Amino acid sequence: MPACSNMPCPNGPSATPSGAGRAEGHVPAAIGRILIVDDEEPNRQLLAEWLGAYGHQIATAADGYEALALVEHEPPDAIILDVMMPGMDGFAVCERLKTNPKTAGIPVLLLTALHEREDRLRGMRAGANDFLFKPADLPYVLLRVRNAVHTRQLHAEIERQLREVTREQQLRESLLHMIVHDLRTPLAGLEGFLQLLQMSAGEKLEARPAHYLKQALHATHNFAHHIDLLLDIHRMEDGKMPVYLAPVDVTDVVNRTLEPLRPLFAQRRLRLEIPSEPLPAIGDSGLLGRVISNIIGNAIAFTSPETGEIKIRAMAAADRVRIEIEDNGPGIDPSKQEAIFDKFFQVGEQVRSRSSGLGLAFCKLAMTAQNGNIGVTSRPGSGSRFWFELPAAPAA
Amino acid sequence: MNGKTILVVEDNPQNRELVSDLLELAGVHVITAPDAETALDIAARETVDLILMDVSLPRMDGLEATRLLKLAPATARLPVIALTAHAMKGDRERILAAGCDGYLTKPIDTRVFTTEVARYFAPANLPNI
Repeated sequence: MPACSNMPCPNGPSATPSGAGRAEGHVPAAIGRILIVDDEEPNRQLLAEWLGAYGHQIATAADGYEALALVEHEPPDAIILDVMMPGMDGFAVCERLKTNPKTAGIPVLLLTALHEREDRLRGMRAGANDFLFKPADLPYVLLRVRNAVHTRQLHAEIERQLREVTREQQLRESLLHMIVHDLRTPLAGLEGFLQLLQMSAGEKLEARPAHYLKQALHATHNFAHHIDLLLDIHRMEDGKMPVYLAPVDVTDVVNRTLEPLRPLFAQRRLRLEIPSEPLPAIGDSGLLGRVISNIIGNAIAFTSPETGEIKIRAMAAADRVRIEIEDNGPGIDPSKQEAIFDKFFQVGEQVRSRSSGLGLAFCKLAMTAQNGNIGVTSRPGSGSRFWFELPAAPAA
Repeated sequence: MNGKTILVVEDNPQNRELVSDLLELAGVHVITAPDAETALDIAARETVDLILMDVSLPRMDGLEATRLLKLAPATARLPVIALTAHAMKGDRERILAAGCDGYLTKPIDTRVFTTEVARYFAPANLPNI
């Protein structure tokens, strides 16, 4: 058992040396646990008695190995570490402590001779936080130790708060997810039975009620679409989304995705540059199709029926297959072109009123899950060009 | 699909009604079962062309029921399509390993549901016998 361990020494200095007064100035008298590592017993004893008398809990170690074992067992708030020790010297101990994430945060005060500048530089490289000089100036040692303990405790407090905030954030997220998830089932019922109503009674309804039913269905589909985006983003962020990477023909996926969307283009001019031959890539055809319809949906939402023009291109580009969807809408400010792929980002209320800001976040996660890429080039006032790429399938 | 018989196994009454009515509108004769035990009983007694099997059922789940169906010579060739809520990674593998011939995810998309079910009646999509 190390000498003078874990207890204030009874015969410490009776008078407070000048400059080392308690609870003075901005550094509160923090009672911390100090580990003193020195191979010479009298040195240990002197520091232990002095610091113990000022309320610090003391543990001591006579060499580097013992020190590391003690730190592992019960991490102190600060370590006073002698440099010159047989076996493992202070630099080596310091390096070990600072490269272990569990102990890296504990302040290390290296004990060196006053004139050993090289030692101090070496100590800093090993990660030491502060230096104490031999022979020990005891009031100086006490103040440096208090500083170190104070820093350590502030650090611990911030870590604790961060853990708490993170935990609350996770709770909120899982609560949100739970609500969304629980909404999906009744929503499916609403959607399904409205659909059934339309299928079974649609023809017998007068024009007005038939129109209301159609609007109700449309709103419900929209609602369901946004809920599904939220759930899918959550699944992808959790790595739980099933992604089936296989050879896909991008030409075919684009054509099949466009087909049901055609009525949505309304009066907008649609220009297609899609090759007649297959564009073989590796991806998930379902996910790719959803990315395409999301981007096209945005292009439609951001252009006016009278002047809107949407260009869709698909091409092979080196070892990638690339799709580009270009519109002549208002464009996106350069400073926001990266942020639009973040969850809940909205370009601006005046421009975008009917979107939850989830579509592009979904697209980004979906392309990343397929080892692909997505991006946008845009100049405000002259439209946006969204592009996304998949790895090309290796030649057979 | 007109004139075919489909057994719908689903414990949620609202889903059961929704799925059945959608299929009936497409001309399908529908039999329903609220749990796996009833479904096994019906499949053994009646002539059924296809089973839509909810995966999560009380007591015996849909995958266990499918395994039993595929083991019995009388029902081994009966196509079973799993209905799974919001598929997670690995679900497809579990479903196919149980012997299902395919799967559809819930919530079902009412606009395309019957078309998707009808695909399983096309000869190319039937399992090799």
